[in-house]
Amino acid sequence: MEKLEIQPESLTSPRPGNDLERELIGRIAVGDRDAFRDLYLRYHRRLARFLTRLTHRYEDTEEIINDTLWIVWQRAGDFRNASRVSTWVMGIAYRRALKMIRRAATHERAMTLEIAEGEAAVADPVQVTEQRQVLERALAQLPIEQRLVLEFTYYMDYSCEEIAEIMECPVNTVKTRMFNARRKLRTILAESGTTGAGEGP
Amino acid sequence: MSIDLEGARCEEEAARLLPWYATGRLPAADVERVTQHLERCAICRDDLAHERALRLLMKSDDRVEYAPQAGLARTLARIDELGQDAPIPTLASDQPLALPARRTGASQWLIAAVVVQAIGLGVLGASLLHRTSPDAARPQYETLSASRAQVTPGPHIRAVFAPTMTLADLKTMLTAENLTIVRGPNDAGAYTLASIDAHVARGGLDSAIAALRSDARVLFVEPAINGEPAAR
Repeated sequence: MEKLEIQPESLTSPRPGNDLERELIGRIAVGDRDAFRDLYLRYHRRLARFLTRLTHRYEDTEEIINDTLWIVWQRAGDFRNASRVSTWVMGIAYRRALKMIRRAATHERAMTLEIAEGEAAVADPVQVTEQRQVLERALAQLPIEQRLVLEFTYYMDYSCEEIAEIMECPVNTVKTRMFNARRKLRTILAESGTTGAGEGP
Repeated sequence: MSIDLEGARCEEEAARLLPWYATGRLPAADVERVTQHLERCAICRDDLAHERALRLLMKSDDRVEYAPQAGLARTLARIDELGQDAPIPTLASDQPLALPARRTGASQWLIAAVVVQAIGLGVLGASLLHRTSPDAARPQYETLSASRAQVTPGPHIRAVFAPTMTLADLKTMLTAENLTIVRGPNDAGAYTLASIDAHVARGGLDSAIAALRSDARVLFVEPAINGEPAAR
């Protein structure tokens, strides 16, 4: 049997930044606005991209981000080092986003955002855009909890345990949601006449 | 070799861990277990390829860029509005939140009115001081942003702000760049800004100028050349 070359991509990759972020949270807890500014800028980008995928409206994304960081400002004194800062912040953002999505079903709305030029991550942006549109339609058909597990896993690179912490549910629930999401996604993509993401690089 | 695995499913526990195997976020013991499973399970090898492709596709959506400064300024203004100099140290949960209401159109106009009023009072105050002070020949400055800041004789910046700029946003912006208003607005609506750092060199304002230029609420910004009259 030929040797498998299936290796996890970042098995031992450190997760840098947590020590710095803990320091920032400590400073925010005593009212340090410079620390708040640093943390805000660190999280804005990753929250914005993640949330816009869910809400499809920059105004909603912006509101969730600002509410989330506002809560971080208020609750920094409650943060316990047992958690990662990113897990804690993402948990707050998740609950805010879930409320908004359930309230307004905003993920149905059209996204109007300025697209930066020249940042295509792959060689054929047209093809990727088409694939993404197919995938986007399929993702939109998933129950929101299942979709979020997919997003947390593949877009945010969180571990199963971290996702359980963010979503405040058992680890097995995360695995089940992911299992069901993958199965349903395959079915939807097959019905739409594409293998979608199945065309490996 | 091509095997039609479409529709086939592996029910083993290792199969449920494939997504985190693909992202490298599994504990070492699970990695070993999944690796061993993959050596004997063609279905899961096929699934893993799907999962990796799915991940790549989901991450390919990184072409959207955002400008965080406006949101940051609003959040800092929200902190200022409530007069909370320090966060609340202990609260049980993040859920029952006393979030302030979203700023309405009416309150935006109220803030704009306050800005206009403040500018008017500043101009009026400066005018009265000019008439009554024995030091009338020396410029008197009333600023919106830094009542305690020292006016520096160093290099200056001239800037025009959008009419929609709020007082809180202006203060946040100037504080972030260590700037203060030393004069203005003139007839064209231009303000003269200086660093609150008395020792800043002329080139030291470059980063502040760049920051102002990157903000859509700043309509015009350029360094004021030494000896050139500043905005009056």
